Amino acid sequence: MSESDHELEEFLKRRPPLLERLSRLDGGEPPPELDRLVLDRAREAVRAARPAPFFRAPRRTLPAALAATVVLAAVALFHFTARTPPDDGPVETASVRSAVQEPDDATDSGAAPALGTMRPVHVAPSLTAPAGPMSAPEAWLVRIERLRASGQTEEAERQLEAFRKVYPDYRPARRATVSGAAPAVE
Amino acid sequence: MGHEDDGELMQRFARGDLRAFEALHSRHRTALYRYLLRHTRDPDVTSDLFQEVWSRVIASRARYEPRARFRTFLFRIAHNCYIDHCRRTAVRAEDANVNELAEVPSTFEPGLPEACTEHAQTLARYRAALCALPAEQRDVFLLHEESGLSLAEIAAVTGVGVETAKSRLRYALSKLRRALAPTMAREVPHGASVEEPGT
Repeated sequence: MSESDHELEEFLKRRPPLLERLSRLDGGEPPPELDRLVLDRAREAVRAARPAPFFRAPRRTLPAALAATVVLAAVALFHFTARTPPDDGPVETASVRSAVQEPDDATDSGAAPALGTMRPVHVAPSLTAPAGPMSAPEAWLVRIERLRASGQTEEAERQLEAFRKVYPDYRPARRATVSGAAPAVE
Repeated sequence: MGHEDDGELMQRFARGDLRAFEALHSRHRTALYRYLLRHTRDPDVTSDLFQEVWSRVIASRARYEPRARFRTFLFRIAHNCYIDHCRRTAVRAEDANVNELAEVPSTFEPGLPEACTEHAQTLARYRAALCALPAEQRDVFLLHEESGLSLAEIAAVTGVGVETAKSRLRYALSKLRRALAPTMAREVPHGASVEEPGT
């Protein structure tokens, strides 16, 4: 083992007293204000990482808040049940009624009905489209088809003319007919 | 908390426990400060670097994994901060005024007993010798001397092999011994472990 190896081994085994003393003499302690800066920075980091508390009411208000919630819920429930109308028939009819908007049968004026005055058509469940929700123009076209099928050609033509005025760009869907064929809009 | 492992403290700090950080800081503040001060010899620069090191520790708390000793992790950051500082300021340790460091520290008043003056002179020589070391050798020496890291840990901190770290430490010791030879010769009766073979 060379001299320097021996020296290193000795050093690694035990710190030489002279170096230890010199290091102590050389001193060096972080000043207190430096420590404070570091600790403040850590405190800031912890505070910034903490999620901001979502509205926290004082603990003593908890029973009052619970009571108010129960009362409000009861009042809302009472109003809701009192105003709900009785069941008005099959869902299918209701859905057709809400979806269909076309001129009233009784008017037969020939003019296109104003959108504001449109009323739902009361059709028998058996005459409605087979399945699925149907839009207003589709239902109107179905009706025109029916008129044509029942021999009321003039009326059908008048309705079709009115339809074209209201829906000039409408392209019919195939399923919207009574027979399954696309209605003749052209 | 006194016996708690550094790694556990760091993990607790990551969960928002400020007291865990205070314990960590308290354990390592002196060693870290001295390591930086011995490198820079400038209290202002040391303060800046000291803050920077702890800031990086704080910022990396969420990513910290206790795979190595916290001390190794801390001094790796310190080592990197010092290297960055040297690059920023384009200052090499060798450029420092060694003669200035060799002066007797002002804390030692003239007229004090002879022993005290002798200590002051030895300290001045030590500082100058330390400063005269190449940066890599001084770094390895200080990492061992101030932080108490093992050779393997020093190698990990400085990013070199263990043999390289060992070689650097050997050169550093040899140069320091030469610089402090007169004092060491007088020390022999008191400290057999620092006896220099062949002298």
